[in-house]
Amino acid sequence: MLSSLQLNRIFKRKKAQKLALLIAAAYVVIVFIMSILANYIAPYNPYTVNLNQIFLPPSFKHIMGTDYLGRDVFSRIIYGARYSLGASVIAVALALFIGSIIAFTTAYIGGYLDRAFNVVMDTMYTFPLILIAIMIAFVIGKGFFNVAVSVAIAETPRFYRVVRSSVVSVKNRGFIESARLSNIPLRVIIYRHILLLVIPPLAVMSALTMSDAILSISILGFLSLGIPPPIPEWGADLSVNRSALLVGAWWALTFPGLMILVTSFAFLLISEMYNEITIKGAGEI
Amino acid sequence: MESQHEVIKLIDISKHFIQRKSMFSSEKIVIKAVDNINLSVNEGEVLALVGESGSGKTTTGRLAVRLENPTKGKIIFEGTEITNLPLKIFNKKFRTKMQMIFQDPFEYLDPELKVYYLIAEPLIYNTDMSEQEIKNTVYQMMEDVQLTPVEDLTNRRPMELSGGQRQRILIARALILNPKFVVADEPTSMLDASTQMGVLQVIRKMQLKHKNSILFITHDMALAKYVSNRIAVMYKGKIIEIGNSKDVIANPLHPYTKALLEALPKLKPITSEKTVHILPEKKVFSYSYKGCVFAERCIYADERCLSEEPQLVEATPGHKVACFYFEKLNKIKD
Amino acid sequence: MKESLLKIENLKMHYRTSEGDVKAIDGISLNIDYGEIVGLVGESGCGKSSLAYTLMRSLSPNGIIKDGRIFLENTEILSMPEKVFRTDIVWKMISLIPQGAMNSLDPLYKVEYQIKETLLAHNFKGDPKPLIDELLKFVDLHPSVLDMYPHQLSGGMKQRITILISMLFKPKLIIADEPTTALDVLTQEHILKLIRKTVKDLGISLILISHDLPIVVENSNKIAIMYAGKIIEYAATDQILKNPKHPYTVGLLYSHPDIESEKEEFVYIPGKPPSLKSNFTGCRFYDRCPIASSICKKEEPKLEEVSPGHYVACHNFDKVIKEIWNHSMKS
Repeated sequence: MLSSLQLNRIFKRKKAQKLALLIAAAYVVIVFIMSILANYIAPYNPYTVNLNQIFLPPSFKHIMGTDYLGRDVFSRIIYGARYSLGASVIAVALALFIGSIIAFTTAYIGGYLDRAFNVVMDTMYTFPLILIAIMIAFVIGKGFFNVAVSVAIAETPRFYRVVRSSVVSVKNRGFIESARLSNIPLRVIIYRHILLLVIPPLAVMSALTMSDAILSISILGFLSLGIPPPIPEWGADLSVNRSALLVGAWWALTFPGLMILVTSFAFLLISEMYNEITIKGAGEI
Repeated sequence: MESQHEVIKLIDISKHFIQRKSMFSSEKIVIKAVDNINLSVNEGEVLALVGESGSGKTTTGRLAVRLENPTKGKIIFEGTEITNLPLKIFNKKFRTKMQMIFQDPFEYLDPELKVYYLIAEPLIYNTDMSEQEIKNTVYQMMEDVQLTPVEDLTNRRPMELSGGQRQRILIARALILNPKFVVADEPTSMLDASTQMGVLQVIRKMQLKHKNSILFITHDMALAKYVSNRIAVMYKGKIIEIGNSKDVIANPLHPYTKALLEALPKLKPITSEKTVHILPEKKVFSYSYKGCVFAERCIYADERCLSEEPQLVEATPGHKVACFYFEKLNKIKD
Repeated sequence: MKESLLKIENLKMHYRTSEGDVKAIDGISLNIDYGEIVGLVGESGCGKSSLAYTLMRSLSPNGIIKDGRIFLENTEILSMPEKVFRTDIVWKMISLIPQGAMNSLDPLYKVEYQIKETLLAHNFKGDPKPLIDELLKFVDLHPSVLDMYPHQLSGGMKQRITILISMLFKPKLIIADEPTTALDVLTQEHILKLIRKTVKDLGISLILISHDLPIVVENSNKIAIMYAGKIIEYAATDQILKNPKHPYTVGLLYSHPDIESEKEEFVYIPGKPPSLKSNFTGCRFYDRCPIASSICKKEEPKLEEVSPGHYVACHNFDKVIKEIWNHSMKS
């Protein structure tokens, strides 16, 4: 038996979780707004090269200093949000859309079709992202949209699985049999249920995948498989500024790196906290 | 009063499942959930199918409404063989005439739907009734099954209702299309004792009003006696005794039926120790189906019982039993 | 006066939830003598299983004992330090056959291992083999079951093993929480026979918790009827049968067909028990009671002795006869 003290601690934890969710969500919203209003917020043009001002440390003129081509790091980060976040959103949206549609139709039909796609999706899931990106880059080249597609392909199986498990779980419920007995078509029942059942896990999965996608886009950018320079993508910037290590210009690497980390983590927090709060786990009173 | 017109007839029905013996062996075992049973329900009668878990009674019920297909045998409904009828034709012509009242009032009701719609649904998808006609029919049905006050309950969802009320919805759904044949699969076993009779009375009342034929599945002999005209007792997939309810209970002929009645708790304190004439269960279920299914637990079993399977024979008019020695055991005088 | 084995005084236990307190046990008093079976009957949601866990002091984390005392042979056990309670009382003096016991056996381990594990957990010293053999004989199981996994055994056998485990330290009191639910009639009787033998031959007392009144009637010396967290009637079994004094008891008695009688009329109690989260004023059975009067709405009836050994909590107990339910009896 727990004392009142211990019970209070559990209630406090819930409050802390709600607070964390709020902060993470607020951060994400700010970054989104930042990316949209980049034109108005950024102090400089992110593409303006000034070889006289290479690797200037942070100052009032350049809050985050300048990079290896004298470009303002802060402006590059603000504009970079468009590309890093933008590509991630497209990737997640594609994966969600395609994964859900395939899952819904094949799981509803069932039988061989369902099993076949299950195998296909499992196989897709085993392909490492880098490999997919290389193949795509080889076939259709690099670029903003292409890198989004690579990530989408890598993440589709996750959404497929979520939707499929929801469909399958509804399919085997007792009231489905009762509906069969009244000649009610299966699709009617599934439509009725699937939306409510599938939205929470899809929301969690989307946030989680966003977190993943931001990292992935950055990694691909870093490896020069993604969005090509001079576009101010956070990951690409990490790569092109590697000479900063030689001269101790930590700001050119730290700030883009931090953005990747913090933004990715914010989405992770959102998905975790949403999970904790809405889904009642063991120990929940 | 029941006529002799058979509404549904199960002929030599079997349902076998094949399983591998274990994950690593390729040896197959056959599980005979239902084995060669013959059953018929007459118009307007209630036939109770009594058995314990594993007896095959639920499977038999599901086979009878074609929720599952038999491995062998024929099912004849109102003179037409429906066993191998293509699903589309079956659904169109027969589905609405054969319904089931399920056991679980939690799982078998769609939690998203309101009460009104739960009862109206079968009408919507199977008739061309107008909205007003449907409304009238549903309201009448709700009155009949005592889902009252009707106005109040139509807009509720299942989880706001009690177990007894939910079971009434299941009954309403099953009976709204006025089926000729209904299988009631332990409709009260998940309800509290104080509400069971309410639900049973509803079923009884509806049956008397509409003259449906009912196959009432239960493990409770006392309930079977109260609710049915005839009782069939099942054990490990076979019918071992069948007859008029009063006969079977007053004069059980099969050792298993006798044991069941002896073991049944009665509402009086034990004065002398209760004896149930049955052997304790063996530790492993053997999948060999040789001889009488009850032999391994029967205290009277002999060589013949272990090797030969007894068939159902008529002991007294209308009362059949599957046991070689029923005469000796009951000292029946002709 | 003979000393009771167990004396429960005004026990109150609540579950704290985010939606308020669930008053599972709301003032229960009970006496259990040596060598007797006391049946506890109630329908779903009345709090009877909670009593079992409270007695064993193994409630879930949000279960809080709000009031009351429990005396085991004159020692108060609720205030006992946790450690002492666990070493001296649990399984040694009081043991439990939990609800769904058959499924409480760990599927990954053989039976023998699980029995030995329980022995070790309670500091058994010495060679367990003669004890286990003796108990196996008592519960009518062949020693070969020791070498088996739970899934290889039938429901009845698993239940007998959990009974065996509850008897390992020869406790004075066993709490059997729905020991026969999910078992077939034949197996059920076999288990109950074993329970009766345990009490008769070993002098162990037993609290038999069940929602099934006939089982409790057949097997108990005394019966307590629970409703919405309270005991509303408590008397010797034959008194409950011949002279029930609470409307709910009468309802329960006549709610099920009895194989031996020809009667065709049964009671059906409309409605459902109140939620244990509610705040109660007056009698909890008021909404469903056919003879409720104005005092019943205002004042909660106390459990009082109305004839020797017969306790009831009802303002109108003297008006209780079978006929009060006539309006809901139809055949």
